[in-house]
Amino acid sequence: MSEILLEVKNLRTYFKSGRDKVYAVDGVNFTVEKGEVFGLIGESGCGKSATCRSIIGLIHPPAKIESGEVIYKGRDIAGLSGREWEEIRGKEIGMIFQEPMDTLNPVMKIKDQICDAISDAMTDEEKTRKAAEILRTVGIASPEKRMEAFPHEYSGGMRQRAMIAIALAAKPSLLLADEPTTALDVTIQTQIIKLLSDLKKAMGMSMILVTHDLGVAAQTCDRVAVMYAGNIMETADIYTIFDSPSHPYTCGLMMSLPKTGQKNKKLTPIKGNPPNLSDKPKGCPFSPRCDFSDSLCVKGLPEMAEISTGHFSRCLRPEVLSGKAGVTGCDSR
Amino acid sequence: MENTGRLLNFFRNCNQEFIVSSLILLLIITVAIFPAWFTRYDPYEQNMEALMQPPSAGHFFGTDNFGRDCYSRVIYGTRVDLVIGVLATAVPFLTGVFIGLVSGYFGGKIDAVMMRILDITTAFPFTVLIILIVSILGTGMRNLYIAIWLVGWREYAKLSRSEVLVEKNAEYVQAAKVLGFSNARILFRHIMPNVVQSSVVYGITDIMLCMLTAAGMSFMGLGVEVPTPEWGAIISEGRPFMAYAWWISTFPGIVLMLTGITINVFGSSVSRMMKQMHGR
Amino acid sequence: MQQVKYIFNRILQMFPVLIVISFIVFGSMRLIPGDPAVKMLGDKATEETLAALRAKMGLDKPFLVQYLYYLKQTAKLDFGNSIYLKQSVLSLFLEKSVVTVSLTVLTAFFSVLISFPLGFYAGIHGDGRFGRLVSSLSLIFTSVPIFWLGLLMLMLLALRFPVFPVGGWGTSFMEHLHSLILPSFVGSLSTMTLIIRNIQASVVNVLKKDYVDFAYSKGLSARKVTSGYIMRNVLVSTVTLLSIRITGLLGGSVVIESVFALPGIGSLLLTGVLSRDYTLVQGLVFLFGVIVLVINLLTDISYSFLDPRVTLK
Repeated sequence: MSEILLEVKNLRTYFKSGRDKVYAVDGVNFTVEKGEVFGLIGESGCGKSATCRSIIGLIHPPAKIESGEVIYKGRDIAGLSGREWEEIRGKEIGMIFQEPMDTLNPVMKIKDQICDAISDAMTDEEKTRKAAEILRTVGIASPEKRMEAFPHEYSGGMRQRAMIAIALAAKPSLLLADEPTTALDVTIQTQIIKLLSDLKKAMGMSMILVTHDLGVAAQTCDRVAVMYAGNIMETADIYTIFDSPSHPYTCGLMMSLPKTGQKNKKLTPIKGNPPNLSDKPKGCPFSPRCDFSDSLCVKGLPEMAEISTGHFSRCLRPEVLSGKAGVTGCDSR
Repeated sequence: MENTGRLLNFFRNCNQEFIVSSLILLLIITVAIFPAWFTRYDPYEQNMEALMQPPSAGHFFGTDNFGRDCYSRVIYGTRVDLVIGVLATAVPFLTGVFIGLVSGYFGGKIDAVMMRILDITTAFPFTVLIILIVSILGTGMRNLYIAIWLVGWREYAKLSRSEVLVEKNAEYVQAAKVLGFSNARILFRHIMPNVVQSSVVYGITDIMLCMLTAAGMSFMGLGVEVPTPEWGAIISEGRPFMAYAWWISTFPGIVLMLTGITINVFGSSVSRMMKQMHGR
Repeated sequence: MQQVKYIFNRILQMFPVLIVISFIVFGSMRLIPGDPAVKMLGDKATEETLAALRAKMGLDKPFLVQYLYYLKQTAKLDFGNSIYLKQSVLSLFLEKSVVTVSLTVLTAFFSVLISFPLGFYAGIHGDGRFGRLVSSLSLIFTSVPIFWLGLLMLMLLALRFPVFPVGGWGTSFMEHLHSLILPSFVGSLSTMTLIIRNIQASVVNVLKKDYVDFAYSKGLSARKVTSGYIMRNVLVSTVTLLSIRITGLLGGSVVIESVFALPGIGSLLLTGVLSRDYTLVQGLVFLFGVIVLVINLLTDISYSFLDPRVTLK
């Protein structure tokens, strides 16, 4: 096993709605190893973004991190002060967002937005040269000219590249990518995914990729965690997850995904709707939508159970799925 | 059935601000209609034996340089000011909304001409335009009305036009067109109820703005004729004596301000309720 | 270069608007019943001078010819002589504009000076006690009759406690400044609350934007994020409001100058109206229109500097 870069322990983040606390992240645990791409998968509103933002400390009132630890390189960074964050953000942990148009400052030149992120120790000239270099790495041609432009003068794909360039300008060891391809056309999606993978390898960084798109996860991630209603339901390496999913929710996600080579097969959507977080079901949050649930499931939240090495599932009866081999387990429904 | 539902919905959305401000507004309107209920003095009656007396139990707001009771002048002024506010708002509201509806709905040349007129009139500050018109027509209340009517429609036209531009592409409008309804019917029966709200909300605040404008004009001698108990005019009357009779100018100003605040709060609470009822 | 061309084009575009404005001003003055020559020279004018002016203005000629004569005079910056004050309208305007311009600038300065920090504070710290205080204050200041508040201030700070002069303009620079403080403060109140509310709303809006979080995620200090990312975006939305308000302030100067007995353009206009000095009113209203046009132009230019998304055409 290689070195652990980030460990999230029992993270709970809520936002206040009226007098109630609504837990977007409800006791999340996972680790990210050095050089690994870790995927956080789930439907929108399951708490993946909130998890990401909690890691980098960008949770604003009325939302708040209630408890838990975020251990980065052996140091708990949850609850750092603003000053201390300046040393971590950008240089150690960077983040990219979903919608590049909203993420780039509309009234600032791309060049200045990159230079902002580069350490102050350099002269302006060095910064400019560095900025051009970074833009070239993310695949923007003739960067010396293009970086004098404003975000609105870029195309969607270029904005995404520029955003990646800015986030990577200070060479972080960990990149949080929050749905980095969702707002893009499919063809550009593939390019950006490839770019991110290449950059990750070249710079030797780790990455947490938040996505609702299993296809994107399959292309990029080494390990994934499937989130549902603020909890991680299943975590395993990418092959295991696809070969032998051991949580009914993971199965449900796969069933609703079209696959090549399987003709005349109906896609089965998961019945029902994702739960309202302010009115979460008792016990296993997935139980109301689960085909296999019984009275035991609503008693309390099931613990994570190790199914095989490194493969954990928060299900009382994973054997109903994994008893049969592979994806067919899902098909038995 | 639907109406009871609406009424219920209305009361459910009532907020504290709405209740308090509408109660005060009701009181102000009562004072305007029946001023005699609230004072025993005639606002015009001069009393040479009681010149410029400070506020007392007999004269709440004191007396002025003619010995008139300042309190009863303020009370009787309520009607004058309220009527000014409502009349000066109602006409521009109707014409402005009409112009905005028509020019937004039909677009094309009508719209282009209307927008040019708007552009040109906005080249003058509101007050300057009013003064120009008053100077052409001569001073006096009637001419002040005309001046405000000629200038005040701009905001309503802008507001309703911009909403019509959005609304005219809505499905119910397309449906009405397919059904062969006439333009007038579509515009006034179907579109108008949906776009008039923002103008109504603005209109409520505009009552206050018009009262302030008219009071300011009277203060400068461009509004009501001299003995009329209008708040701005009363403030102006007290001006030469402010060094030793502060009460003449002070009280009408306070009342004008409180009325303005009430109307403002009423307007914003109505707008909030409208938003809630439409779930926006 | 592009900007210079843009400004040049905009100035060119101003001319047709100016012509329309002049037409409105001229036409509306002709709506007044009576002989324009008598109105312009006053009741005491002799028959000869009246006849001379009629011939000069071509009053026997059609309306359009008269208008063209007026337009020609206006183009030469000749707005005629004030009947009441017996002085050229332009020189009166230029003389009095010092007061009004100083008043407007100081008023805008007060509003901006006070409203920017307060608006930012209210926006960043949310709808707490301070936010509520700001909204109640703005409620009061939008409903208060400015002329009355001015009188009240005079009563208090000039008569009871003689800190400021009761009115007038003084003779030295320090006296000018001294006499402007109270009027510009009173005049700035309503604008101030408007700007505070606008900035507050705009800050709240900008803070929700991903680019603020992205800026933080780069490791920038709070100060840098505030100045480079939040403030610049807030400014863009405030400049337009400020220009609309400056136009309003110019109009409001009539009232303020009247209350504080300041000899500015507003007082001059009021004198013109009350003494039925039509030449004066006609000239001043036209010049007001010109000023507003220039302010709008300046706004658009500054807008294009602040917001790169605004393309100059």
